[in-house]
Amino acid sequence: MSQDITHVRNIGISAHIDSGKTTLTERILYLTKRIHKIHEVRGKDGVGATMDSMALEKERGITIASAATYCTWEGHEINIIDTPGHVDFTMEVERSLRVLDGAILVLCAVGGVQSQSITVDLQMKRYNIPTIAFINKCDRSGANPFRVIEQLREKLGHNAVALEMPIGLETHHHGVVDLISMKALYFEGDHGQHVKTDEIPEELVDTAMEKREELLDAASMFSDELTEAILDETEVSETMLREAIRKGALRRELTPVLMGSAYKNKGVHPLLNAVCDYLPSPDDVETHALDITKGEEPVRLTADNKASLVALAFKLEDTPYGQLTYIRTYQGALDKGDTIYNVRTGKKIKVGRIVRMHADKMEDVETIPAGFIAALFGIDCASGDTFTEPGVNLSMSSMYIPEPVITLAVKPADYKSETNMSKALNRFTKEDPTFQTRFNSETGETLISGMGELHLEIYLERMKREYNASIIAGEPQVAYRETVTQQANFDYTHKKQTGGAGQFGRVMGYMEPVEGEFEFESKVTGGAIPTHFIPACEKGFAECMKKGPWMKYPVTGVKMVLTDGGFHAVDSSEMAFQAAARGAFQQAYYKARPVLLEPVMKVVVETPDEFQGNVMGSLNQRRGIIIGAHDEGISTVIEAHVPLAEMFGYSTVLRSLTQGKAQFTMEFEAYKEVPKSVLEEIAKKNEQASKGGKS
Amino acid sequence: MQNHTLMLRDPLKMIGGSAAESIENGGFAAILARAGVGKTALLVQLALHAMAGGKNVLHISTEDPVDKVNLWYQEVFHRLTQSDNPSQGEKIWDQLLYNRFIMTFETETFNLDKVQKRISELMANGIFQPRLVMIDGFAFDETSRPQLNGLKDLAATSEMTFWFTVRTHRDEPVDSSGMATSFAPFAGLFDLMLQLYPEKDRVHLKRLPLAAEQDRQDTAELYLDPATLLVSDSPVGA
Repeated sequence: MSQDITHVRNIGISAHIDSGKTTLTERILYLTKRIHKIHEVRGKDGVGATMDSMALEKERGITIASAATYCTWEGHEINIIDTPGHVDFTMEVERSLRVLDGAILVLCAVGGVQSQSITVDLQMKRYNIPTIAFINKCDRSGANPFRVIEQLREKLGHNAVALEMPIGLETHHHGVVDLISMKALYFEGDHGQHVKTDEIPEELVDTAMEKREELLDAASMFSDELTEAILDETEVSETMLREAIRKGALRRELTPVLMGSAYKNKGVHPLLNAVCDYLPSPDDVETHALDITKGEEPVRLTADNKASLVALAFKLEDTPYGQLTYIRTYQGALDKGDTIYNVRTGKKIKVGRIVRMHADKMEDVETIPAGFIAALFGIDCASGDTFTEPGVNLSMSSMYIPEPVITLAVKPADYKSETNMSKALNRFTKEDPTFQTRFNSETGETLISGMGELHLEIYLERMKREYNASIIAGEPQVAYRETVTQQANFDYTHKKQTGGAGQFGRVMGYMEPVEGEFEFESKVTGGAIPTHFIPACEKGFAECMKKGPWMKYPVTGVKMVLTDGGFHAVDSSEMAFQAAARGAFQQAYYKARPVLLEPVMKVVVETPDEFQGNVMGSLNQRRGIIIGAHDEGISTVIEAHVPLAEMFGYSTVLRSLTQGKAQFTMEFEAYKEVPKSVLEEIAKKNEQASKGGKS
Repeated sequence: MQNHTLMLRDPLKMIGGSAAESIENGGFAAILARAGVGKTALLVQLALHAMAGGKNVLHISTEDPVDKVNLWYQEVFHRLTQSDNPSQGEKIWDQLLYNRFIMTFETETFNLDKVQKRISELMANGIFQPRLVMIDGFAFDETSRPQLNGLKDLAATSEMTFWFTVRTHRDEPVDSSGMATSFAPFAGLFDLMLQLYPEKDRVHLKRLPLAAEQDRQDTAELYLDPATLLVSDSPVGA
């Protein structure tokens, strides 16, 4: 393992779904001799790409977990995190970006900058990650890399500049012209492993000169030496030009653009060179930790092996050999046998085994130098935990975690599945902070919540495949509430004086709407109800709040006021007053005009301009009130209030309405009254359900 | 949906004369003032009154984001209904939201062609049929005249009223009627123009005469309460 930090690159490959990043990673691993055979994502050999290690991922042709892998290239050590491109898994993308120093933004030469590219790019901006762009699929019909560069400038605001130009496009895509060395590069051999350098084809010389001028122009902004060389018309050396580009790229003020076709093995060599040339080493990046003892004051970390250790656990994975914890050291080296300290839990842990991962194969190592990514075995921790040397109280800044938006009830099908399900849920919640579970005592169900329906579906599948738990998943559920809207009096006598010990209690007063959950007030004077029975009355009322007499949903926002009553010297008891209170509640409830409340969500949809009419229509259909739309030029952000009950399945609908180019977020806004027409439907459904339950 | 529970005074009726009638069946209206005098507040009051009367209002802003525009409505609504029962207020507010649609644009990419396109999209898809369109923050210049004419046609054919806010400048010359000269070339397009004049401790609201009615007698004296920016017929804060 290399110890020279300046030769280390921790990079991510981020992109829109289906722009070919898994294929690209596969090619990189092949060229760097990490794998010896190329498998396609949806290849005929049934093996699938190496980075997609979960069976499920292979089946669906998408990448779910960010498997980390490493490779070496020209004396550089490159750690790659393959990130998922799907909207439902943005947490994974965000977490990967957090530990990376640089990224390759893969774009499709046909599709260009798509909405997901915009999201991914925003995330890279948030973590200030230097980026190089790779325009893939130049062999596809309709490919136009220079249009994509234009979009990078216009839509993403990058100062994008081409380092290459294609030699032929679509089926005639043969190679690229390197605008720095001004040579044509062709990729030969079965998997393009041999690079042949040649003169630029005659017909492309003029365009290449023009493009090189653009490149020199852009790069000269970052180097006085280069500017002088250009002005004096002396020779611009390759090193000089590369250094200028690197400076611009590290400051995120210049985005070098490369191109090719990963599938056809074209342009991957120069991309790897560019990763080494223009993306930062851990030493080039400023990282900070928070000093817990000093009110979370930021502390600058140095990628120095001798400094005290600060490391972040950014991903957990369950393997057949136990929990695997992916870790990135920011400062100090971590050796096998070291004792480390989990800042969150305060527990000390001995490091037994350090491995470097290559998708699902691994290799034991003795140490992780500062700035490296590796994995630990047998460490109990949660994702996002910081490890330090005992006595050092530094924590890596907390990661931004979005709130889950969708909830589903799950039930194990049999006894064996019950244990397995709880094991699985325990594991998933540790691995993925956006996946949450809780037990709902109102319904007696286990609820799982996540970032989208697909997100939850994947976990349901994983429970089945990896934990052998058969799960019965319910329909996504909405938590309705009942409340009253006007004051109503009650006067109720509970009387049972036929045989045995008698019961007698009389309560009088009124029920009224109130802010908050439940209130009780006693205005009883003159001992109409003996003081020691008053708490029993409150208890009786409170019990009714759990399940409304009308639609059987929990009741909220009710105040019960007791004004008068009556008792019997012998037959009155706590039980009798509780029963009287329950009767009184029922009596007053219908007179107080009960209504049903439903959770209404604030839904924000970001959509390309051309689909905004469709999106607004879809929100309207779902009983949504559109609050407003903000036109951002290329895309429109629409904000609406929509009842949660209408939002199930929306991600699928939105995807098909907008060719997958729109995305939405949803958060709880308020409880609002359910309209009459909908109320009847709910009542009907409930009736059917209760009938079904009885039969 | 007519909302009888919210009895808002119509600022236009308060102005009196033919103000309300002049734009009854569509047309162009403008509120002129310097920055910070209360153009948006007045616009929102007019909008809320129309919404309470069951008319759909499309509010377009090039300056504020959706949330801020919404906050304007909430604030003005809250001030107008302060004395009412709060839970009743909330219900009315929920109802009013059905009659409102906010659209915001980046100043650089905004133009009236977009407005016309968006309105036809909203109507064609049955999403929203505006009766009033409030355009807050549009800068008038000669290049936009063809688009203004287009909107004017739309106003006439679909009985839609367009309200524009017009920002004037402190040291800008004014013509004999008190209108900023930069806006004067466009005055002919308008059926109603209101100007806000900041005075020492109040804001005076005046109706500007149209080209065709230079000798029209001025109507009622109206003011904006400088604390709440609500329209009032008393010169001191209500």
